[in-house]
Amino acid sequence: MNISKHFAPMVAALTLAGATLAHAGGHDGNPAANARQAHMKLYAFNLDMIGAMAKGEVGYDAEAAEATAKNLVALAMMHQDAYWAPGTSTAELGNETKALPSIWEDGSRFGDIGIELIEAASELAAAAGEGQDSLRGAIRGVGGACSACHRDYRQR
Amino acid sequence: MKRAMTWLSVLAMLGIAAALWLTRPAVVSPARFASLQGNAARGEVVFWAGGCASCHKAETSDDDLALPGGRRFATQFGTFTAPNISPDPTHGIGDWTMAEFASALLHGTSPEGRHYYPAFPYASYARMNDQDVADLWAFMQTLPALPLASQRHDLTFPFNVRATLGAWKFLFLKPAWVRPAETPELKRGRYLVEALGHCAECHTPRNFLGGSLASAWMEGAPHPAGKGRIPGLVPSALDWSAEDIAYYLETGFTPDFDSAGGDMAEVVATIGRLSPEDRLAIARYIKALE
Repeated sequence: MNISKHFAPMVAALTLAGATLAHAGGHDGNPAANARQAHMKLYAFNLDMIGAMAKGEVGYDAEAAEATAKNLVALAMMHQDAYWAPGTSTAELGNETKALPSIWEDGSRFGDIGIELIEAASELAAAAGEGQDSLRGAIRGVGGACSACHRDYRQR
Repeated sequence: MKRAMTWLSVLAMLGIAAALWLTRPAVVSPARFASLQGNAARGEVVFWAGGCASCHKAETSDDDLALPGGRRFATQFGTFTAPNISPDPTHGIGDWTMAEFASALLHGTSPEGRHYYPAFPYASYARMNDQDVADLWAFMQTLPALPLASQRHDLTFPFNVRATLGAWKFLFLKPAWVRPAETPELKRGRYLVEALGHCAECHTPRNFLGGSLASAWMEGAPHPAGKGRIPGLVPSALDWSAEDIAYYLETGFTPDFDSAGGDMAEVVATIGRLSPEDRLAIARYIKALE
């Protein structure tokens, strides 16, 4: 039995598996861009819950709607400067991000839109517990703030 | 031989003259609009459905009621700059007649009798009914007059020759409905999609002359500015439910709770002001596309 005959391919296979694991283990990607994308996923998760109620896909629950809207307020108010760090736009990171360099350029309205989002989310939190129509009516404001930023500062 | 050449060039010039005459800018007859009374409140609905503000508001503004023009649109034909359509009598449309306004929307012809470029989506607005034209005219007169001069388009030859647009209209200006619609709701949806909303202007690819490809209607297209792709709306490209589509037009949120970006953000800002019934009619019509 020739062990070495089987050994070489096995080493090769293990090395390959190890490299793949290390790659999938979160070492790749810019940490700031990863954090931003995680933040966006949290918005999306909470908006999904609220939207399902607004659309009538699940039953309206005033308490849950209000709590979820408050999550959006909390997310919007988080201090995010570190993960919107300069030098992490499409110009530097390529396909790892969709954040356009204009976010960091003079005259950028990025920060203003962030404040608009806080205001719109706060209005949603106030309206969310007042019934399904009230909830649905206030979502458009949040969507407007999301879209305003994505229109100007997210790569198409 | 020399005589034959002379005759040929005379014939060619006659041919060009005849073609220009046959494709000269068309206008509506003033009598057709003389008896129509515009209703500004109804015209506001037409205004939001038509999305006028998406192109004609100021470059840096989110005020959808101030329409001084100036936004620039890069395309393969050059850069178009949206003109002033506020009621200013000198720089805008304040001194137009209702019939001139109708000729612009329905035939793509300016009050001076020149062809407009189809960046102005008259190929869709040509399907508008006369009362909606009158109502829109009434509403737009209530908007603020802004004294800002319109800028020239910056286009490449031969697209900078407006007379060629007569041939473009002959080939591509087809006001008939694209798709059938049976129920009143689908008819309303079709009117909002094919006429006022002018969805196909972006969601359908164009040929090298800028004419919409009827064979690929609403199947999605490269972005005219070069980067990115405009998604298709036919069922093979879009599997959202009608309620998903209506909710997206209302809030900008996709079924995955991503949000509209790019140019579609502007569309949501205007279409989102329609009634829930109108948004659902659009959605149902989109779902009925084959």
